[in-house]
Amino acid sequence: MKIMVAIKRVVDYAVKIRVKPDKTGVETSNVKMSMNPFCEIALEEALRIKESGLASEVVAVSMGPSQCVDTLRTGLAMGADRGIHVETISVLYPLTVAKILKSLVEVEKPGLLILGKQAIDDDCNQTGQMVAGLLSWPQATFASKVVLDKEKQEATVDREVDGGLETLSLDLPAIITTDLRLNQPRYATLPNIMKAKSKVITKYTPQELNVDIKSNFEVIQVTEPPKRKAGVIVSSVDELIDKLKNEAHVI
Amino acid sequence: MGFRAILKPLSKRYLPLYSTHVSRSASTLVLGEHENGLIKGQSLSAVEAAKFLTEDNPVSVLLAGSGPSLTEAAKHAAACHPSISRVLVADSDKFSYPIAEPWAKLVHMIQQRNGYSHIISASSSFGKNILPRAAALLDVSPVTDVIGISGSNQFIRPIYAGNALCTVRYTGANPCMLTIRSTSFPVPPASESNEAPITQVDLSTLNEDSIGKSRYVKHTSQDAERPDLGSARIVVTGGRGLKSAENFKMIEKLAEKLGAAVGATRAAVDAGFVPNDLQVGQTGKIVAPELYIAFGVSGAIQHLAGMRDSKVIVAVNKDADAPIFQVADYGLVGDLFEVIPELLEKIPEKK
Repeated sequence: MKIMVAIKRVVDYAVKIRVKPDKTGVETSNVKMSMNPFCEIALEEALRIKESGLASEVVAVSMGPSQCVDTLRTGLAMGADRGIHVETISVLYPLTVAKILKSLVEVEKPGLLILGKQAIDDDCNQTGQMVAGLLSWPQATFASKVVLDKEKQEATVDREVDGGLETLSLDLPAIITTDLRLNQPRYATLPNIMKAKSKVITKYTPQELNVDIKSNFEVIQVTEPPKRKAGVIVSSVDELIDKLKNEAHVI
Repeated sequence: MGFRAILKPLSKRYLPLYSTHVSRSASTLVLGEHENGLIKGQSLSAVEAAKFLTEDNPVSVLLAGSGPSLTEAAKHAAACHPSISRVLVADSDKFSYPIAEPWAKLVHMIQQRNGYSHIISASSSFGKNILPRAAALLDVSPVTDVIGISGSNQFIRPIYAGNALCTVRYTGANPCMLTIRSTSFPVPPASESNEAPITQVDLSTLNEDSIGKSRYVKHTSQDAERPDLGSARIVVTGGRGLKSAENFKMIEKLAEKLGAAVGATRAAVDAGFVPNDLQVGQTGKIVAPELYIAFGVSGAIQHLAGMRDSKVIVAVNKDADAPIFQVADYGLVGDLFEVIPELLEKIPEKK
């Protein structure tokens, strides 16, 4: 079985982002970019499944500008076998990404597609569910544990839901989106980074995959969240209780 | 709360602009989540949100499930909120558990029959699982985690872990689909009653191709004797500074005394102090209580994303430079192992 993993290049999670003064978006030039943390977890899970002998190949897919190749190289250095880059310069929304992924699934025919549960830039949490819907495949979102049964062609997945964990079993092929606690992604070692340079990255355009890029959104403005007014530092528990009781009236 | 105050006048100003593309017969479908015979408060927040779309907007609530608990929940939904004009009930074994595949098909089928202008659910794990799948079947792009609505197709949503707010206009075809952050659309205490009609959904044409490929196995729930984290008036949170699961019990004791819910940072969850459904932050729950007290929490941006809209924030940390103090209304620099026992002793008993 082949596993396909979708990875996204985003502003590094540790960067304190800045809103552009003209309110058109967030400053992304000269900002450190990395693989979305949830995508790292998705790729790690695919690699572990392959290492346990349940998959034969891991294909990493990314879409966006040419720099996405760097993100793909990181994925290849972690251990993905090959990469696919769908090059586009326009802003992609989850529905378009899902349509591109659907086309790639039809070309590659993987038995499992793993994605992160959300990208930490747009915080949408949609793509996995959408591609599952387009393909009529079963979905297990927010996965914290995945167990594959090769004989039954089934995946048993623990999902992080409000109020606890839910376990589902899915017929393969299926879509899984990963939550934070699924695994601890590995680092790429220097020899593997060198090896990754010779791995193949296939290029596509959305046109070649018969996907129209259309946007159903117009961004009116991007602003900073309202600042909280400066608080006070109290010196004792007594003062704190007094303030909460007599100033804020919350206890 | 702050947003709603700002947006109310805005919506009046913007509305005429859109009158060309807003269909006169705006109508909203709310995907309702229910438990133990009651519609969940978060789903009622989605009904509240519908009020901000257009002035004349009949709201139908869709409930799916099976058995007596569904019937009870439908009765509750029909009576509990004055804006609900109809309750649609899909009663089938397929909906015994909230699985995305049959639910998305159901939403698709009902939308094709009834043609709503908007479909809304809460941004709960239920809504986030189902609504995008349904949107893909309907070939529309949804909007996630809306915190403000200014007119029938203009929304505010946080991006980059809440470090920026994006105002976005939906220009696509109907239905416009959104998940809303329930803490941004609080439901006023029930004053009026309601008697909305309850209609059974005809499921005979429910298309089966993707249903049955995933099966519910089990649900492991956490003990929840305390108030629900998402809707509690007071939240007491512990971070890595608590050092052990044993010490975390102090947080629980304090929460008990305050009638508060217990929250945790990702560090506390990963260290195994508490289960993950207590996590507050970008990847956990979003809360906006009246009082949020953080002990031993540094204040990473991912955590702040989950609590920055709290009314009053209190931080207790021994590091005076911890970023949490930048958002705290009241900060106390000190050792939480001394502060918590003192608080336990001195906080007045809850009446």
